[in-house]
Amino acid sequence: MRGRRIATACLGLLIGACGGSGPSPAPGAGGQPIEIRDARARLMPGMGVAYFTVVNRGATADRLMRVETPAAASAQIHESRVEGSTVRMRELDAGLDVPAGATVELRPGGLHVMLIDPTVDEDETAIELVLTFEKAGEVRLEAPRDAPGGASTGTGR
Amino acid sequence: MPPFIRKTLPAVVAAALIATLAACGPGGEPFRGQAVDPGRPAPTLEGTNWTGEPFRLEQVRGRVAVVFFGYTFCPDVCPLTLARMKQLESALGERAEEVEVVFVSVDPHRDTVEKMASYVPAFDPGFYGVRLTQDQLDAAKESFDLTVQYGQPAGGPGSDTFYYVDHTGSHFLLDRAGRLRVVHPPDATLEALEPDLLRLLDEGAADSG
Repeated sequence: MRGRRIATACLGLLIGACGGSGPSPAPGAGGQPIEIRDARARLMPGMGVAYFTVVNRGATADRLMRVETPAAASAQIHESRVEGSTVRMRELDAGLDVPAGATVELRPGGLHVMLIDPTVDEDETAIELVLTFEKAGEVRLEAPRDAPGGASTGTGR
Repeated sequence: MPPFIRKTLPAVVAAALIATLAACGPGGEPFRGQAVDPGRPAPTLEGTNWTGEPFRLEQVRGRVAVVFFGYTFCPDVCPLTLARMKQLESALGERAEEVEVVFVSVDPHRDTVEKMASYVPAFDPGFYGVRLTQDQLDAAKESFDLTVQYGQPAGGPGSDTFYYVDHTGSHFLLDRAGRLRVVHPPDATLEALEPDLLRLLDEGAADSG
C-alpha cells in the first residue's frame, strides 16, 4: 500500500514536470499554467504523428508556436479537415491558439503534429517533444509510442 | 370527405408507400450512407497490391468490398480510416471473411509498392494496399469520380520535400457483383458503416449478380 502511494506521488511529480506548470515555471513564462495531457505518438516509415491535449488554466490566451523533437527531421502542427467528401490537410503556420481557460485536443481526424522522416530507434518506447508556447515558453514531454492502428492514435479515444 | 378524395386517397397512400419501399430497397431499411443507383456500371480499378501481385477490382467479386483512397504520407486521416476498417472487421466477426478492405494510393510519385508494403499490413495483412501508376490513377479518378489535388512541396516546387495530397476520402461500398452501391463520407462512423455492410452481405451472391 505504502509503495503504491509513493509511486502515485512520483507519478504526480512526473506529470507535473511534463505540464510545465510544476513548481518552477518555464523561463519567461510568468507562471502560465499550461498543462499537457494524453501525449502519444505513432511512427511509421517516412512519417509519424503525435497527439496531446493542451489545457490552459490561465487567465490569458496562449499559443503553441512550434513543436520540435529529436525523433524526426521536422515536426509541423497540422489540421485535417473533412470538406464534403474531400479530406484536406494544412499546416497551421501561425501556430495553434489556446484561449484562456480552454482545453484544445489534438486527436485523430483533426489537429495533430506531423512528424516528417522519423529517426527514432525501433526499440524506443517513447519520443521526446519540445513544445514552445508564445507566453509559457518551452514545455518538454515524453509521448509514448503507439502501434500502427493502435487504439489511442487510431480512433481518437 | 368528398367522394373523389375517398376514392383516390388509398391509391395516393399506396403509391407513396411503394415509392418509399422502392427507395429503401429490398431490405426495407434505407442505407445509412448515400445510395447509388444499382444500374450504374461497376467501377474499375487496376494496380499492384502491396504483395507485388497485380490487383484488379474484379478479383474481389463474390465478396462485399470497402474501397477508399489515401496516401501513406497522410499521417492522420488515412491511419484513422484503416484503423476503423480493422474495428469494423472485428465488429463483423466471422462475416468479415466475406468483406474485402481495399486501400488505394492516390500518390504514385511517393507510394511505391515497397512503401505500401511497409504501411498497409501494419494495420492488417489481409487488407489490400493498391499502388497505382499515373495512368491507372487517371482511370480510377474517372471510375470513382475522385478529386485529387497535390500541394506544393514544403521546400518549393520540384523539391523532394513533403507535400499534401487533398483527396476524396469517401468509403465506397461495393456489392458482391462489384457494383458501387453506397458511399459514406470520410468521417463515417462504425455505427453507420456496419449496418450497410451487413445489408450488402445479406443480399447474397445470387440476387446481386
